[in-house]
Amino acid sequence: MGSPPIQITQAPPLNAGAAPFLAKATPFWLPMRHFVAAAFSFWLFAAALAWGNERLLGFSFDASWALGLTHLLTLGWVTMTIMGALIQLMVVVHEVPFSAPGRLAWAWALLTAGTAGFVGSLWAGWDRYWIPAALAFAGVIVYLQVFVESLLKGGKLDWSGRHIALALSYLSLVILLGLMLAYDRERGLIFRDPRGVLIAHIHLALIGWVTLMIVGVSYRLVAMFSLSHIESKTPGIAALILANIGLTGLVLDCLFASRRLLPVWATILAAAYAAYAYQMNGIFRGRLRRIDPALGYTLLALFGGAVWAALGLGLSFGFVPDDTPREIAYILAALLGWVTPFILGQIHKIVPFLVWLHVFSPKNWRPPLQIPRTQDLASEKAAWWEMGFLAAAAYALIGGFLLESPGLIRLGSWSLLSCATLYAANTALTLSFLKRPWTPSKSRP
Amino acid sequence: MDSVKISTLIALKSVIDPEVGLDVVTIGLVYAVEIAPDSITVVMTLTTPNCPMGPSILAMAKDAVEAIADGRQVEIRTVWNPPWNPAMLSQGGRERLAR
Ligand code: HEM
Repeated sequence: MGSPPIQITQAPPLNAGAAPFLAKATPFWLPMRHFVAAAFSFWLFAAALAWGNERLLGFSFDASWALGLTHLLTLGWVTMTIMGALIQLMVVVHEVPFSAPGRLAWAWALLTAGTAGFVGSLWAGWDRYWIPAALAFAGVIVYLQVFVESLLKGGKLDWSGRHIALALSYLSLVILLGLMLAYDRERGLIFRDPRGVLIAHIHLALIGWVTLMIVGVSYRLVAMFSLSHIESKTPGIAALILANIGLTGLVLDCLFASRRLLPVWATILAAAYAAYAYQMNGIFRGRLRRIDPALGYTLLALFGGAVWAALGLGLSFGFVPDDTPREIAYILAALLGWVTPFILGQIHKIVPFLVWLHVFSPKNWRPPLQIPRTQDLASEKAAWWEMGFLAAAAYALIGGFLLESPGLIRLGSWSLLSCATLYAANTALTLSFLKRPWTPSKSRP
Repeated sequence: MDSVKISTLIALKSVIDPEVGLDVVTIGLVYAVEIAPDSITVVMTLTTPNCPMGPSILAMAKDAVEAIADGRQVEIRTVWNPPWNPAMLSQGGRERLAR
């Protein structure tokens, strides 16, 4: 063990003692209901894609159906999971808990109802889908309001925290523009260049909201889960600055300057990604842990991010034709190549952790009573299979849309459905420990 | 006194960080054990301040030491300085994590 050479200082007391601290911990279902709704949305997205993928190519392209599908994934899966995870992460990153759990439950209900209504109306062919979308907007606003209030109660805004706060600010712009676009699609009154606004909405969403959140969280969580540390933050700081310059330039160009400089913004954004990847490379190189499914997913995501950046450069410089199938490939590279593997990797840690905390966190514990490790509460084998299916799905779908190959698209959608089904089953396995006892495995060291 | 210190460390080796999967001594979270005639004080840290698992791990450490304390008062003192870093992991622990 050995005494540390540096002076030891007393820490302020943590929450409380053993069992009583659970009374102060975030209620179990507050984040968990986000994860359950998100797993359902992910599965429904994959099932709908497997069932109706021919509606995404050629003459049978169905724009409303595609738009519903996109938002089932972006609002129902991605945004929902991030919001749930942030409830858990707030204390770790900002060092204050969310201050109003009751209002967060309302935010969840509004977002769920709004997303279901938005996607449902698009699929049912109802033009006024901006009405239910306004509910989702209200849900996000309530969530943001609670976030800001909590932060003002002395929350810390360190490097990771700044990414999160910025990402949430971008989210409010995403939803505002989305709502205006939806209204404009029905009435055609607001925008002179709706395509420019659409590009702004897509990039504020995929880069400003989702990517900045992932990047900020990854510096903290990936370093923590891999037992690594960050030696120099310079590449990460460069990534943050470049990403914000590239995104602001792109959005202003799309909204007010007829998209004249897209290749410039794309190059700056690709450079931001390269700086981030360099920072992550350092974290992976310094890790003490073997590659488990969570880290495996992160590596898959890092590769997907590079594919997405390359496609973005290709589209902006005109090497890749700027048409619907190639744009779908680009959006799928972001959502299934980059965002989904990253989310799945972290969620494979967070859900077992929550169950452990609320079920196995021992009260009056005495050795040699064994308690599970978080990894004992899910199937690692299933997680590896899930990841294999996701990798196959993402690249078959990206390739399928780039080459306009219905066969590849079909293969990709069925692989994705296998991934989503396994993920739902693995989540159900973890949640089953709420009801059934855990028995130690004999092989455990 | 030394034997109490050894029993304390053995007791702490039964406290597993559920996320890392190793015991708190192997991870390097235990900075010092101070034995007095009527008390045992464990000076320890956690891998991350504000980790929601923290209170639980500290409670387990207290329970484990109380089981061998033989009537002594047990205090688990949490410190954040020096902050824990992966270099504090024991060699054996590193090998087990890499497997
Ligand atoms: C209530 C919230 C939202 C509303 C009302 C909304 C609305 C819209 C509308 C109307 C379009 C199509 C515009 C057009 O084709 O002219 C669109 C496209 C898109 N949105 Fe959203 N959006 C919302 C939230 C989000 C979020 C949170 C994300 C990502 C995290 C996102 C990602 C996208 C993407 C990738 C597209 C392009 C895909 C396509 O055209 O099928 N949106 N959105």
